Amino acid sequence: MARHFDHMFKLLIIGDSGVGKSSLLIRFSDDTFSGSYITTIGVDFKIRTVEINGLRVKLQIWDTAGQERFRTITSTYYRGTHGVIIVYDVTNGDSFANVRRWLEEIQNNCDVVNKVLVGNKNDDPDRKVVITEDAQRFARQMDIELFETSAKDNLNVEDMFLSITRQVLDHKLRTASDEQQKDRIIIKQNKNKGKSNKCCS
Amino acid sequence: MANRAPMLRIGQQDLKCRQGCGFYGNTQFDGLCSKCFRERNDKQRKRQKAGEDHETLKVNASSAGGTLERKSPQHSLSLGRANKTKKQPEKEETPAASSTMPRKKFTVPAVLQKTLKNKFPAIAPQPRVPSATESQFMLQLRQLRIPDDGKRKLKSEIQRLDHEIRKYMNNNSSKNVDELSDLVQNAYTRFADVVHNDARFEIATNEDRDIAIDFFEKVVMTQNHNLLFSPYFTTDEESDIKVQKRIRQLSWITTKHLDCSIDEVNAEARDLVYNAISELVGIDSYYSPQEKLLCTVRCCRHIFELLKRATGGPASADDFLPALIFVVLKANPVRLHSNLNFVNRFTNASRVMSGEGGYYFTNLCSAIAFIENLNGESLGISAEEFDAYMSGEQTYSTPWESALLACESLHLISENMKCMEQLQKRNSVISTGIKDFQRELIEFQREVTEKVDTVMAKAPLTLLPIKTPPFLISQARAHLAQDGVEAAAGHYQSNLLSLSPQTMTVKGKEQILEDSQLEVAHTLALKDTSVGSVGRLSPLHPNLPQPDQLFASPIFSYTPFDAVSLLEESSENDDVLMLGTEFHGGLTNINYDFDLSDQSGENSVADESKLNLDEFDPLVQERNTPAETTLLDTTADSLIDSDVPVSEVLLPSPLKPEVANYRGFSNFEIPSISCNTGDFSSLNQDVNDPVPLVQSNK
Repeated sequence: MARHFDHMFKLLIIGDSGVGKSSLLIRFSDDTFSGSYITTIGVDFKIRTVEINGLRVKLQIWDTAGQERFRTITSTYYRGTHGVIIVYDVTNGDSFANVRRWLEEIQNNCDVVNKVLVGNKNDDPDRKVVITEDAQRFARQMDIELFETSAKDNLNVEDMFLSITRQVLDHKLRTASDEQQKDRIIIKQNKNKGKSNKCCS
Repeated sequence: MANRAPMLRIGQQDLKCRQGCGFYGNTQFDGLCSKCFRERNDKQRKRQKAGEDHETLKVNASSAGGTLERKSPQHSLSLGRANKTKKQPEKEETPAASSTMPRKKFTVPAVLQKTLKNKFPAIAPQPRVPSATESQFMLQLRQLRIPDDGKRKLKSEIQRLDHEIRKYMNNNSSKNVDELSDLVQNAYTRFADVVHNDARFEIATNEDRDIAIDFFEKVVMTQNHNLLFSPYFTTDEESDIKVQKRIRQLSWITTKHLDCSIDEVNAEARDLVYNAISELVGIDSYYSPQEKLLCTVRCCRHIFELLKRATGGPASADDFLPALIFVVLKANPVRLHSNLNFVNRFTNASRVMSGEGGYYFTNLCSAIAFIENLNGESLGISAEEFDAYMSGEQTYSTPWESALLACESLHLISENMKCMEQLQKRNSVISTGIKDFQRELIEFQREVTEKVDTVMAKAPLTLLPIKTPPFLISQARAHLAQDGVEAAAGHYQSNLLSLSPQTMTVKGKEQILEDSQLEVAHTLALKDTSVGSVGRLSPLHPNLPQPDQLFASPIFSYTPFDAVSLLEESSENDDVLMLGTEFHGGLTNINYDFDLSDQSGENSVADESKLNLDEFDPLVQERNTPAETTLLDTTADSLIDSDVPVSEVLLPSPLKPEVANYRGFSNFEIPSISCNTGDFSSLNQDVNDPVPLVQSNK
């Protein structure tokens, strides 16, 4: 639409509280505090434009509260989301166990969405409790790509974000009916509906 | 305005059912009792009728607008930008309708229908002056950087949507807010399509196109705010009230319950919380969804700032959402649901799904959802505890309110502290000033003393004894030496003789008559002896000269006395005699006064140096005159000198001082003489007493 980018995707980061969602986000968005970063938009709202296959993609990443108590209210966040990043803490088994619940959450709130599983805090092997193999197995089972990252050491963060972006972009291009068009179709239907209503009255 | 009316309506109907009729309402009857429901149905039917009437009017109006609309492009084609003036009347009609029509619709249709009918013909011929917002929009429209064709298209689209909305609001008896929302959303997409694909917008930049879309939304939403905001056929208001009550009930929730890192006691944090709260409350005061979203964004930015300060780093959603919930709970904004729904329904869908505003808005929606559904578990307390708090059975010890109170006190304290600091500063300034002043004073004192010292050193003040001419001193010494030797030798006699005339003058004169009665020859003989005897009376002797001396100096008034006495003498002998004695006494008194005051110390010196001292004595002249008189007198008296009484006169004097002592010491007591002289008894005694003595001496 606008000159700055060819596509704009909204990504959602979910996961238990304290798994490092925000640090991933900060690492990704603040690492490239370059011209692509729209400074007029608040620092706390993370936006980054990346280039994939020659296409400029603006990423808008929505951070969410991971606390259990907010689990029931996150549905609103999923509206218009193109991709979801599910984060767990490799040093915290519970956070990994909760991934399944988060996936259910996604299932409930949006139909087709691109996902990526991220095991964060992968910087201290001694404290690692979620073994890569287990996570990998689970990811394959769920048909999700797995990334083990470290926001602290800036490990895999960029790759992970680029991967999900590519996935979303591929999905969009593959379906050949981008969100805009979908909306338009829906709108047209609505319009017709509205007109018919009018006629009826 | 529009939403206030339904609020009132609902309230009244609630009252009707519960208090007016006493019957319970039924949800099927929209919470009314059957009677009231029927009544309302009647009303609605009436309203519908009115609406139909309205519709006909509307059609007329729109057709009028349409003609104008159709005209304007032609005009603008030829006139270019000059068509702005034309635009005004066109635009203006729609808002006029929007502002008047909807209100009538759901308040008192019948009455307002009339006014509407009255108004319309008035409006149609001559365009009204546009309201402030309208003219502002006109200005903004002019400022849009899109082609004029695009502007015209934009305007027509705005009017179209306006009409659509109004038509929907007026037409349908069964209205659905979702349909309305769809209608608006479709209009947005349609317009977006137009903007991005229509040839008329080709030359515009993407940014300008977006601005045009925003403008479109803003204008339509602002103009139709009263229609679309919390429409009467929705339950927005009920949920508003519900959530407001709920938040009021949850006033006991603290930051601890929500695990958010807001420091309630910190003044800075509190200020940011206040800012966030005021922004949140301010959402209701804006008309367009964009502005409401912007308000939300500002509110959330304050919270992020707050969290950034609290945590010392970029805040995450884990911190942000609880903080936002806390702010919402403490702000308890009015018409919360109405506002959220308004934005949700009527803003461009992409706006709430993406972008910063969308993100914060989503968070806000989540926060409200959380508030509505929260229970003990979600606050980390037991269900019983939660219920106790909710019912007010248990009051939380440290809620925000008490924190607020504490904050107020803290605020006061800090204010006072500031005041105290200032006072302290001033005080220190004063004390340093005092010290400086003290130092200066000391310095000054020192300087002064120094100066004085130097001056003293330069010109020392030596108190020299009274300068007595050396010859005088030597004379005095000589005299002193003589005195010792000649006291008994009778040198004094000469002295005394020289002096005696003075006394003689006075006393002598007085006694003239007395004496005259005595034998002259005898007196002469006696005089010598008396004088000699007096001279030889050693104890009294030194004192004798004094009266004479003193006599000599201050006797100004003597001559008059003398004159008087003389006169008296000549006239009345007997009386004069009496007077004479009196005077005599008085005068002796005076003599002694002087004697004591002036000459107490220097008897020996003074007595002899009398003549020499004259040179220096200021009273010399005065003395001279009496002296002269005395001389004269003496010469006159010399004949009488030999009289015996003379000795009488002289003798009493030495005893007098004791009496005279109490009379004072100054020369000027002389005037008091008269008074003293009045005291005859004492004087007589005094005078009389010494007489025998003298006589005995004789």
